Amino acid sequence: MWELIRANKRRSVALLLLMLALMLSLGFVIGAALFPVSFNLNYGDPYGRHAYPAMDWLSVLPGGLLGMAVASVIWAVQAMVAYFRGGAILLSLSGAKPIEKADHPRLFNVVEEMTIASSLGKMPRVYVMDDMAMNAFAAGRDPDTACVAVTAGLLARLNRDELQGVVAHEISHIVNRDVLFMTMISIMAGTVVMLSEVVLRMFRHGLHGGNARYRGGKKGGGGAQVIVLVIALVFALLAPLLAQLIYFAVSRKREYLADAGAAVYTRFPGGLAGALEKIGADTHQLVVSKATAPMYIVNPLQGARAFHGFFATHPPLEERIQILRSLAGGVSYAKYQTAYNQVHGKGQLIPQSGLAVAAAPLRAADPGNAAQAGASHNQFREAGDLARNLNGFRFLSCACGARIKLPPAFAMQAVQCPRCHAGVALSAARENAPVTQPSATPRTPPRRRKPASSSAHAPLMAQRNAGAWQSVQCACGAVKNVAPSFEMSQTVCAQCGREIHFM
Amino acid sequence: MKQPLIAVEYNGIEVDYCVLCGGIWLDQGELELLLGGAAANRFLGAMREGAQVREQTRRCPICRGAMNKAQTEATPPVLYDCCGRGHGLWFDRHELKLFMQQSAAAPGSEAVARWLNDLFPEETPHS
Ligand SMILES: [Zn+2]
Ligand SMILES: [Zn+2]
Ligand SMILES: [Zn+2]
Repeated sequence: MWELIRANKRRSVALLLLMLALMLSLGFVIGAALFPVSFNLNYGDPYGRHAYPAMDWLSVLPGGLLGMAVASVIWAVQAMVAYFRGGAILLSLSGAKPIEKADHPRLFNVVEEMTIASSLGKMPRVYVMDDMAMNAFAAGRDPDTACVAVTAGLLARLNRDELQGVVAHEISHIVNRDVLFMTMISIMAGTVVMLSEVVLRMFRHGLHGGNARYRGGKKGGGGAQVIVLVIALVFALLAPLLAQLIYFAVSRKREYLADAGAAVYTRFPGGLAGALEKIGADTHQLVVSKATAPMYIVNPLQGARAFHGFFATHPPLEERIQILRSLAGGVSYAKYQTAYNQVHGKGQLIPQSGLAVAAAPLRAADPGNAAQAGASHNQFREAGDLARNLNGFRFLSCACGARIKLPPAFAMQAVQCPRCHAGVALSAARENAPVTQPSATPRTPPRRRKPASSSAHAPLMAQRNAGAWQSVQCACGAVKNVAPSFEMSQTVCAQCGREIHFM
Repeated sequence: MKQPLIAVEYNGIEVDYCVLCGGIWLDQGELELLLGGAAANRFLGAMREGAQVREQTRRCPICRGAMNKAQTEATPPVLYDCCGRGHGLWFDRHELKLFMQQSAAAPGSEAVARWLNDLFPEETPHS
């Protein structure tokens, strides 16, 4: 598949240059409209302009060139930002937060498996978005800096095979070098939209006579500038559309390819198909900006049964599902190509080298899926609690069996259990004397603070509540959340660095 | 003073709870877990009857939209608030007690009432 990766890199460069051309044109018209320079060589002569009509056209050049210069600087800065920081920007825009293996072992195992199956050199970092809608994306400029982000809603509703399908699709994007390209186009399309906004605003302002000064006082004066303004307007209206068209030109094919990759890596196309079915039927709406929408496994801005038209960044879900479902008797890129031709019609999707790879047998569905229906309760709870942990909730346990989850904005330190009305407080990590529920034990007289040097190294002790998220308050006041699957006997306070030992 | 709702989980099911007034929020996702998708929608759908009452309008904790007043068909009817977009239901403290007493108020409400009795045993009316 190297030829595919190379072709993708080539296309990415071509698209970036197209974006540059688009931005230069936009820059030219903005500049020309903003800074018309008069070439009246003899200011005293009121007929000077008409004596040299060619000069009229020249007058848009300096402003236009200035605009182009500014646009190319913006483009260069953007390309650099997108290249070096694009992944981080996308992750922060989406609100995705990194998680550790103990936070969600199943997701981590799936990512590990798919890293191996795809021969990706390094395991992508794993992020979770606190959102009950179902979606996922990959970010990063190359396999070394790659990340995979999924929503909590996805973790709540997909079974293991389906989750594996989604992760494999995203890893396939990483392997195919789609991610850098998608990141850059997302960020650049955002700027083109912004720049055209500037032109449109300028226009509205100009039409209301705000800067009549720059439009030439007399009737018919500066014909070139009027034309430039008209071009600017047309451009401002068309540029965002064009930017999107550029993206659409290739993104749909990339989605099919990533689906093909997912089928090959998982050897179970039904997993991704099932996931896409669930995502399509999901009624929750993920809140995203127009610019980042194409990054997701399913475009969050297109409804579930989106318009299949020209402007769809993603192929229609039904078609993707149908292709995956019609793969039978083994998986390979060639088999996917055949299924694609049967469902979609003509078109070469997979490069020759990919078609040559022999088919692998399908594997059986994960046996755990049958038991899934009963487990979905726990799975839902597990995903919800993970999202809460990412949002800084504190987790308390009452002796009556109730678990209490306090949002970060909740001001009280202790609460009355709504179920049994007993007082419940954070489990505290203490020196020597561990206490799970301080309210239930007599208060010890306040001790003198030890010098910072000695207490900084004294390990604290805390009781561990297995089987649930638990918040432990360090002696420094900071709260540490411990995942249900956290198996180690100690952890470290993120604020003061003290060791907290569990008993 | 305002306090955000806290979540209380018991036996795998969860409600959002206001520590100031004792009211509870039944999230659509929780109802789905409890009753199954179709039944949860039926339950929420049956609850959408507009009731003409003079009670302060509440806002949905999910979408912040004004919630509709609704009431059960039992006698006496139990009043509560319902998000028009199906995000969930709000019961005031006394409404919650009434609802737990009338387990056949709506399709699926038996299961909901049983669950609420389980979650709030001290409020459970003796019968
Ligand atoms: Zn309790
Ligand atoms: Zn600390
Ligand atoms: Zn709502």
